[in-house]
Amino acid sequence: MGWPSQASAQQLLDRVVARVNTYAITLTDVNAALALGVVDVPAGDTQEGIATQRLIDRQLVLVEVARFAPPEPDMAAVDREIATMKERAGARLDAVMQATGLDEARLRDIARDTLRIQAYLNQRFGTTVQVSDEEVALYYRNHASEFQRNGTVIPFDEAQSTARQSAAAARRGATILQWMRDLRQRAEIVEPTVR
Amino acid sequence: MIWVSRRWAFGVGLWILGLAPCAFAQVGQPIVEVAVEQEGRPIDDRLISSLIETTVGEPLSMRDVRETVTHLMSLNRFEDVQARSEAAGAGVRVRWVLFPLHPVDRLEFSGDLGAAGDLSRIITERFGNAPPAGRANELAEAIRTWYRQKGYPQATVMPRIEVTHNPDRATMAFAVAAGPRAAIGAVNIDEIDAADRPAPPGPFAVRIGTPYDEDVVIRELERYEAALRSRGFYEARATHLVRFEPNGTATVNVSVDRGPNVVVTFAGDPLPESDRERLVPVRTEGSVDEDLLEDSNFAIEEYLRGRGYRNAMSAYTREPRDGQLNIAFTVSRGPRYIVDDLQVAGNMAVPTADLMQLLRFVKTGDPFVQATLNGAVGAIRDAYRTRGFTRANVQASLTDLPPEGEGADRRVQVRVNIAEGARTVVGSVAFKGNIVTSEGELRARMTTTPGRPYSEVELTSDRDRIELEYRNRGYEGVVVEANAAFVDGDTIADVIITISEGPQILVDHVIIIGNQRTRTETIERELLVKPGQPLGYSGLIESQQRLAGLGLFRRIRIDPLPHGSEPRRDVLVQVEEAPPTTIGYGGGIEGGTRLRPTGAGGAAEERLEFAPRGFFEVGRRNLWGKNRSVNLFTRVSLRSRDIVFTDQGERLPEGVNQGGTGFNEYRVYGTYREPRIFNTPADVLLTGILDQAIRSSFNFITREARAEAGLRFSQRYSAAGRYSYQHTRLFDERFTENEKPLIDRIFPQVRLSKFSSSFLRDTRDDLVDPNRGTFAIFDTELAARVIGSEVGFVRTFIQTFGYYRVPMQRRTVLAFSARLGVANGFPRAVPTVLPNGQPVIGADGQPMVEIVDDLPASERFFAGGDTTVRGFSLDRLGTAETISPTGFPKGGNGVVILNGEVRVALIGPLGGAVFLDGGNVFPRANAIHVRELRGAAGFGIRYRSPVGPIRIDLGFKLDRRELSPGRLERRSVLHISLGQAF
Repeated sequence: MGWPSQASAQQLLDRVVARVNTYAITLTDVNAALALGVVDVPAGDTQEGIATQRLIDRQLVLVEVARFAPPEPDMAAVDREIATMKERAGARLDAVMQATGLDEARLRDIARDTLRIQAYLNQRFGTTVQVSDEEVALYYRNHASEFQRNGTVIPFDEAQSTARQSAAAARRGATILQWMRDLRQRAEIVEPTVR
Repeated sequence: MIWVSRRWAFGVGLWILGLAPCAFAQVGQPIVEVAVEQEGRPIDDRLISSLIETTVGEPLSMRDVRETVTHLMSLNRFEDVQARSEAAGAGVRVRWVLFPLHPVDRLEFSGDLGAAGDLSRIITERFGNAPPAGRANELAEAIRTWYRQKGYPQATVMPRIEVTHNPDRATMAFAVAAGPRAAIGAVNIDEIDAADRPAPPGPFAVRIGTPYDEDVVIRELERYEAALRSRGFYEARATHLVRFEPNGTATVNVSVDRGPNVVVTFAGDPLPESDRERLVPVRTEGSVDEDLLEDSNFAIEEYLRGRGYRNAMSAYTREPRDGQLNIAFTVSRGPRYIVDDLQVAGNMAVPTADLMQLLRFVKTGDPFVQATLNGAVGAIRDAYRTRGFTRANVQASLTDLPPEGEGADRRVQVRVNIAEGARTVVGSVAFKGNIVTSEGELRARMTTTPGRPYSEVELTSDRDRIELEYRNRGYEGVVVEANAAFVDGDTIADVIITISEGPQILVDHVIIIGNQRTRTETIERELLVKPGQPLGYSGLIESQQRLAGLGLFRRIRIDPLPHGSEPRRDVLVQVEEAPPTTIGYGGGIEGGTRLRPTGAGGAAEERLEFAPRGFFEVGRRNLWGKNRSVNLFTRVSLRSRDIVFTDQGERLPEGVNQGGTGFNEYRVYGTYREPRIFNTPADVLLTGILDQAIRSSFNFITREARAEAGLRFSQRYSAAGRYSYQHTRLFDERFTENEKPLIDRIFPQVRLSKFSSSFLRDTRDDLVDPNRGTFAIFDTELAARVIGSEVGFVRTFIQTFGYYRVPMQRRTVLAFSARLGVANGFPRAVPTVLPNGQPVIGADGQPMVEIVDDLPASERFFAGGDTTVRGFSLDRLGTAETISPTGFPKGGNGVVILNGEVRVALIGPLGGAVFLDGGNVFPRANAIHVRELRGAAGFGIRYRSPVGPIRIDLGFKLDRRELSPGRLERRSVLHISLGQAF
């Protein structure tokens, strides 16, 4: 076997970044998810790590989706989701697809999963959450920076409707986060050491 | 939402994610070499090679790379799989680097362990025998908590993983420093029963100065709680907290809340003492909360109403007084109601008899129970809905009859009124959303069709069938909804089946792991899931069953592994092989009535005899990895030898072969099994037999070689064809030379070469002790001189058995059997010879010949005994022509056996049976006649042991006959054996 002795001559094509039970998440999965905006990751040096965690979460949710399947998304919605992903990748779409091994069928599967996850979460946690007036007021007080106009905090009466929506979304998000923590505790998640 | 983004992640590019652009520049270039290595060593593994999709000569594709990573990770053998590449001339080299998993198979503890007990047990109880290496810190924390509970507050536990290779394993090692153990310095109790206070150091065996142990403290507190409850403090609670002091001691703070002293009393109508604790479980639940008391009220009322006290009422009061809580239940059961009459009215479409069957638990003369009636009314409503009467109204009305006296039971007439309403028929059946399955295919699976009565139950079954059909075609996400729209005054139901098919899942690779000795092809042959084919639901289940049916594996798992969201799955088949060698041995005792020549002049007498027996078997399966198997079975019985008489009727003294006991019955049975020979569905079995057996009239020894091919057409039907070559020698014949059939005189040793075939139909639910089902077997044999047999004959034996479970509370099974055997020997001319062997010359000067068309003794039919006609001892049944003058059976060419039996479960594993048997043995097949059948009846007991029913039967002859003038047959015969009679 005539492999060069210098490892530097070799290029890494792909590797496993995490294993969720028996399912492997690869580096190309992470790159594809980032490039297509499948997961929400703030810009920064730790993008790969955060994206990996998001994909672990996504996989855990997909297992639940498979167990309690929501209605199948319609073709038009899937097409719209694909278009959105392509739009996010922009001019680099072809390069991304080649470098991550994606094809149109795989794009469609990713889009379908995204929609199924949304449907599942709506089905399980509802689309709206009722919050009390006290909770809305508390949210307004604790998140004053979200309710500013021209550098000054707008009065509660004016901001109440927006604050109610935000408070409801925050509570729903907190519920989902707790659920995610439970899913993680029940799963075997292994992130191999980078070699 | 954290994992579904609707925002563009700005500034993200591949090039900042650790993937060098030049690697992707190689994508599309031809692959010139593919290498696989593991921990620095190249490996050559056929399974791994088969899963690598980057192949030499093909352009490098990232899709292939991703696929390969997924396949290899499916094996569950690797922690990481990396693909690397480098330029090589005009192409690219691909190198697969595998990092194996090192499962933890050892736990080690070192350092100062203190008095910790079995730390391994703590881990394995919570994390299993192979804890994941990634959870080492979690395990260390669990151990630290354990030490703290044992009084070591400063314990430190440092985990580390020590990896070993060949095989790839790991040891999880913990460096422990337990530190000093805290002794109990103080016990503070915040409240305690005044009666307990004078007994220092209190009611607990938690002593100051002893090492702190949480388990000991909790155990003592539980003991104290139990003591309080026994005194009526049902809500007593005792808890503790520990504080480890800087001086190294432990302060135990005990908090006791004993709650009120509860006194439960019952007033009004009596409740049985034995049921009160169950109905009002205050003591066992340790609670007197309102929910529990209301549930108790309800339970008392239900208890009484279930016994006919239709208006039973119960109420309770709680009255706290002087530190005591008095709970008083007042029970008013009212009069008991008895069903006086039961009628059904208004039914047109359903016969009254059918409805009365649904009302069978509401019996005239029984206590009236409203819940039972409600259940029956619901069942009637369901019966109408099944028949299309979707709006049927079923109501029960009660008429109380005047009381017949003070305190007497009241009688009630029950009338079930039915308003059937219009019958709904199916107007149309339409399908929506079906793309891959045609409407015709779907309709073929529907029971609901236009014109039929509309039934919600049938429609639900139809829905399930369609869903299963889709799942079997790989549409695992299919959603099928069945709805009906009612028109024309609800008389027409238009059914719409809406299908959301979802994507079809195909099998990508089938990965088989865990087979060490079994060839992969042997496993693949049983799998109904194949690469490229739809991943069918039933196929997976049936594959699992077929693999289990091989008998080669201790454990089998078949898991479809998703490729992310792609509609393809690798199917991982994991097997754990069973030991290839099996050894079995055992012993038992057989009891039964046998014929012995102990009568005057060697006449047959029936004697109850017991014979100890033992067996040993050894088998080796899965030879050469192809599920071939070889087995050797041996069995021997210790029996009493015959008492031998001379031809003059003189009893010989006991000698080597006369009287006493000996291993005079044995069987050695060797088999070789070749499944699916020449890739056909047939299994072949080669058998060698050495058998010495005792019959009533003679003993024989047989050597036989047999080849058999068996074919199972379905779960129910199977067939077998066989050829056998056997040599049989008779000895110790109990009838005299003159009584012997000519064939036995001519062939005391006979060579038989024969072909035979069997057809079976078996629907029994249990082979050993069936409840229902039938079993039929048709056997036919042909022996002929042209194929090497000394004797030619054709022989057919037809047997049918039926079992029916009677719908009764006790397990009651009706069992029937009918057996018919007919045989015909091919005639052959045999020279008549004198006792000195010289031929007898006839008047014409030619040697005289006799025509023989009997069957040799070993092939003739016999009857009588524990599995045939139980009023007779073994083989003793026969017509005058088939029983010798001394009473020994000669066997015949025709046999009929009929049996009927009722088997009833009595107490626990004990059961009883009554039976009626009939049958007889006839000299010729054409001599069979119903009037010649002899009957027997009797009873028996059964014990359901782990190895099958142990059976004792006592059979009585229905018609006793004279064996010889003035000597009647015995009336009864006792049988003791294992297994049902048939």
